[in-house]
Amino acid sequence: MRGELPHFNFPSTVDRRIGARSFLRLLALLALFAIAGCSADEVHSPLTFFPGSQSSSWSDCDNKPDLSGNEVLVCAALDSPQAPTKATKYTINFYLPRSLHVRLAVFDSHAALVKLLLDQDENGTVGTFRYPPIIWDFTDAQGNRVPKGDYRCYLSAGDYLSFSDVAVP
Amino acid sequence: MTKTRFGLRCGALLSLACILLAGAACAQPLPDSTEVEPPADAMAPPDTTALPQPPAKHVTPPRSSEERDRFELGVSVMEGFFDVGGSFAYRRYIGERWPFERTIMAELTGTKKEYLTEGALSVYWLFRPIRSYRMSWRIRPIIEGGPGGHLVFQTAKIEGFDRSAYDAHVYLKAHAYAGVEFLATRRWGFLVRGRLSVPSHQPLDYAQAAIFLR
Repeated sequence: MRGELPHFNFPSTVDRRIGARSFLRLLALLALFAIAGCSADEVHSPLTFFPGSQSSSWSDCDNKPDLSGNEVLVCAALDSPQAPTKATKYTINFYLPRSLHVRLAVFDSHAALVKLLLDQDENGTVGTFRYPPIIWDFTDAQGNRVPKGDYRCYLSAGDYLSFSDVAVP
Repeated sequence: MTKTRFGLRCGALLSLACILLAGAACAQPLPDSTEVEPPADAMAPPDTTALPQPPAKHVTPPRSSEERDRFELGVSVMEGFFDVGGSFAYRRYIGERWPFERTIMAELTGTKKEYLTEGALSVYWLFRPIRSYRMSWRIRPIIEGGPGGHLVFQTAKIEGFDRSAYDAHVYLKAHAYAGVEFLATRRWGFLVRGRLSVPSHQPLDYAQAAIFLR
């Protein structure tokens, strides 16, 4: 009689058949997960914080805002609002009731800073809006054209904070 | 440039593995609690009067608790935006059927870079070829793979605006791991492994070195 150690037992034909079946099942499962995962997004990569749903969410300056109050007002528009896919810049106007520190910056959809457009003390606005308006020409801090996609502009003035999504064509 | 940096980081991890393995080369093999002593009559002359025995069924060796449960504490280098992350994992052997043993692993990972902080909870169902290692080995190759689900939560600081953005995402991926583990004692050891994920656009998205406690 041969003394057989468990580790040296070679699998029987039945074992092999079960093995082949479970291997095929595993392959099918992996394929299913590969399809279900369907995007090649990496697990450890920045998520999309600002998915963007409109070409500009700050109101259009043509709406004649009420400037009688003691509030900061912001309006903005693409240079070709009728044909947003042909826009080349985003013009931002704001009204300050008094002197405030204003910071205006653009972030990409992953919330990374793209460009700081304004970061300085501003006097209270005389007239309708600050002159000249702030213009974002769809470039980053190095002056390169940003890729097509969704961006978000943040504006803070004192305690006031507002943002607008911008779809760059 | 990024690939070079990732390569350097992987190289550093592999160097760590080499140091560990060099130390292990002199180590004695662990006593294998699953190996069975041959029966006392193995060397005795054959009993001609005995009836022929049916062939032995493939036996699943019993597992000690050290071989069933394990905690892992590790650091990893990641391809992509983040550089280095920490991880804590619990894995449990759940059974085997030729040709794979199956393990479930739950892992918490955390990482931070610049304006982004990430935490992830991952659950894996891993398959490891039964014959890829023996429990008596101190140094064991790691070859395993299987599906994994990841719940990723990130916060982004909006630079200069005292605000944060939050987002969460669920990923389903298939992973393949390759590496080596070294048992310093019966209870604890080290491991180094790399990971390939599908679907993914990185050939190697993760390299990890960890201490494990069994």
